[in-house]
Amino acid sequence: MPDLKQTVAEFGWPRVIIFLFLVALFVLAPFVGVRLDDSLTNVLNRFGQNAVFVLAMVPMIQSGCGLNFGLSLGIIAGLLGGILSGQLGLAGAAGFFGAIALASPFAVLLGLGYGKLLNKVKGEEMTIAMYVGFASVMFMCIMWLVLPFSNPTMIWGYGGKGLRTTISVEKFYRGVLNNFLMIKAGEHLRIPTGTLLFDALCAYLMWGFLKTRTGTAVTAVGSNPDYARASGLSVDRMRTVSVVISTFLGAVGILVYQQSYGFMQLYGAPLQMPFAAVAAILIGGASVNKASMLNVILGTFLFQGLLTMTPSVINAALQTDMSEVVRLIVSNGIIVYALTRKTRVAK
Amino acid sequence: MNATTAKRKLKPADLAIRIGLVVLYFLLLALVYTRGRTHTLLLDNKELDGGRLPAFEDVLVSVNGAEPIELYAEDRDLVTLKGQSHRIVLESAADGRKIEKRITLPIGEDMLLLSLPKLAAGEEGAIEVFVPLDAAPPAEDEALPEELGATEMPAEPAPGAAPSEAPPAQ
Amino acid sequence: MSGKLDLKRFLSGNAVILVFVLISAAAIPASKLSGTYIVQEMLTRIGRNSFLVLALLLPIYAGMGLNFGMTLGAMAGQLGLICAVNWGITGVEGLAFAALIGMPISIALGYVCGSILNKAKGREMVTGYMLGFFINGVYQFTVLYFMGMVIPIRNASILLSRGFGIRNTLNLESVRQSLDLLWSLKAGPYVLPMSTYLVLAALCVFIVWFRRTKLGQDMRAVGFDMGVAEAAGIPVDRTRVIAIVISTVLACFGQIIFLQNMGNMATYNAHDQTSFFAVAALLVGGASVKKATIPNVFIGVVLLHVLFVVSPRAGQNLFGSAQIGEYFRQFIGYGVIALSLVLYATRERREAAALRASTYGAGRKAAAAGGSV
Repeated sequence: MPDLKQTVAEFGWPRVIIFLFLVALFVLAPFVGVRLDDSLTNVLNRFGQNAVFVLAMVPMIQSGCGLNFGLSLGIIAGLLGGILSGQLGLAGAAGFFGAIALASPFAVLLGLGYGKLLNKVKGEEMTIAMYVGFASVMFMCIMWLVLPFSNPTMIWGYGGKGLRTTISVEKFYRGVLNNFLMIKAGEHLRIPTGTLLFDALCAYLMWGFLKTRTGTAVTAVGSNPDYARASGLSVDRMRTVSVVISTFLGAVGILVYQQSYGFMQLYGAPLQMPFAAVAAILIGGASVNKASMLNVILGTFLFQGLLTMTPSVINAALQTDMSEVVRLIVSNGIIVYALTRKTRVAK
Repeated sequence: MNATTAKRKLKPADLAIRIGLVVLYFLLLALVYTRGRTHTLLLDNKELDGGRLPAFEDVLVSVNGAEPIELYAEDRDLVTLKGQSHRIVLESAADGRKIEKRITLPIGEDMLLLSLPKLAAGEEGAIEVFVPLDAAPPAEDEALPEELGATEMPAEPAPGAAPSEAPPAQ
Repeated sequence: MSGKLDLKRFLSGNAVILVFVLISAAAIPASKLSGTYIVQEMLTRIGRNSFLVLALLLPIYAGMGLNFGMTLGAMAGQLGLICAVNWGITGVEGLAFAALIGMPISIALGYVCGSILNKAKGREMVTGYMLGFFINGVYQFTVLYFMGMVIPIRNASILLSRGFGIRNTLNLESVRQSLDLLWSLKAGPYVLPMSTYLVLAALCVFIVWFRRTKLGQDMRAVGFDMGVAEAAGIPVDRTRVIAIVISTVLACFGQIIFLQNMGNMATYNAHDQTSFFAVAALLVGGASVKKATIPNVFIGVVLLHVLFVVSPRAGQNLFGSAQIGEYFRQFIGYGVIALSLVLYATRERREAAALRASTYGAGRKAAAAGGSV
């Protein structure tokens, strides 16, 4: 019994409560007329869409940079890649992987700059990352209006200038991963195998990376910078590596998201995305300076499960849409909770 | 936690100050409530009891010395009044008769009806609670779900959303 | 050494303010707005916004950085206003009523916020920011579901037609500008809301006085070095909580003043940008995370709002799109916050590194001296 108690205490009460809440929602679902297979399809879809974002949190947490509230930089790189791919008229798998390839240079450059910046401000990374992210998103808002893109499906019909707020990727790379090997079990249950496999591949690569020399160095720098410095590792270099990887994964993440969701969202949309990813990995049991693949998978599943199940079940049961409020409280509550856990702040 | 933050004995003087502050708080609340409580008063110039109290043919009503309102028989008008005690001056245009009265409004009511003939006759019950027939609110401004959706998780400004500070409009 | 270095230090110390003056200098003529209009806007906006910015000062003295948790106070103020409208209390009394209702709520929220920030020492800002979002959820839950369902609302016209939850827009006609117009002065083409200015002056006097009290001194000691303050017998945690409580209560009053000037309230988003505007203004005024003065507040409010007033027009005239100006001002707002946080953190680290070098250096010199003897 004390074992259980200790496990729960380590995992954190808020997470246990969220877990139980989700279980309760799944149990309740059939009673209020929500189909379980429908829900499962939804959860799996959203899991596939978001897993890469959550994975992007891992390297920076490991290297001691904290939660990447500036993930929007990676998202911006991904959006640029997607738009360039659309502009070049690439479609299908070529469009998707072309977009990743085109996004990479932006992601690496932005990641390098972002990493350099974060090295200068150790101890204040999170607040600064947040505002750097906000400012970049706003800067890109101006760019989306000004840059000379010309593909008619992407720019505003009237005026012929400026990119649309939402652009359909139907003709570019919609469903490239989702439809790959999709399993259709019955009318309601569809499993987006391709996306899940891609997520698994990314997670495997990340897991593998963390086992390599560089990967262990990144972790060492995060867990004990003084020791790492003493043993001849360049703290700043390892941190920059982690930031670049995180930014790159942010870029890949948004493209995975788009191919499943069906639309590119420009302008203010990236403002909110980092917070969801941060909340997810924390719900999965990560702390501000320690995260594992298990945290990513569990967290994405719990958080996305909650986002899918709350509206459908609560709406059906109470006839009111409380999902937004539940989401606000759960996701921000878990972030506050994680920030107040005792951890060393690296200076 | 060190010794200073641990249980500190309250001196009686401090306790008195604290109680005093709480009392002051509630006094202020009560004062502001009574002084700021606003009522809508309907000035009603209709005959009552089948002609026993006839309406004024043409009357000037001034509330708290404000610009008078002119009411003909069977007219009704409304004024918004802050506080409970008010001075009302009626001046009949027909015979120049002037009546000055002080009325006290019940604090809990939003909308009240003042019968001018009853007031002039000095009878009880000149003021009664008025319940409007169409109490239901007009059905505008119902875009709630979208509105909430727009506030997404980190409630940051959406692009193109109206800035919280109004842009210059001149 | 001195001349060049001084100039460099001056530039880095005032980089934010200089960048801002330059941008504004370029944007004002481009906007083609009249000087009179801009000056009047500034006079209004000083009255409207300064109180909220002043609310940020105490936590800075206490070394807790920018209090992004001020949003909590803003929400308490909004709850107060909802009550005032609900009970039909109008005019200045309505505002006082809202402030009196908001005060205990903001004290409670401030206490919660302060206690949580004590558990997150070293990352108060990001925690306060996220806490603002979290309490926003609780606020929405209260206002959207509880009001009219659990908390009785007597004024049906402020409820949604479904019978519970407050409408998206709360009409504040009943208290609109009642503080501003209590005593307003006409000077030439300008209207000065003197009563609001008096309230601001009173707050400034309070802050100056507070700094000199025992508590204020303790607060600055805590802000300077928590360890030293602790050793000197100052109750560190308690002092920090008090700083946040006062700041939250001031933010509550500030939001009421802000909204009475605006005249209506977006029930569910009016507080979204409160901390953004206040923090950006303070930083633009030359303050840093560790040091802020009353002049910083007023310089900042004027500079930030000049840019906010002119940039949509400047965007319209320069690029043919007001939207660009709109994005631009938000970019500048966020950018200024990021820039001054970066400048501050870099300076802090450089100083820490210099200190480390000097102690190591001294040690080595001593060792060398010892060896040579």
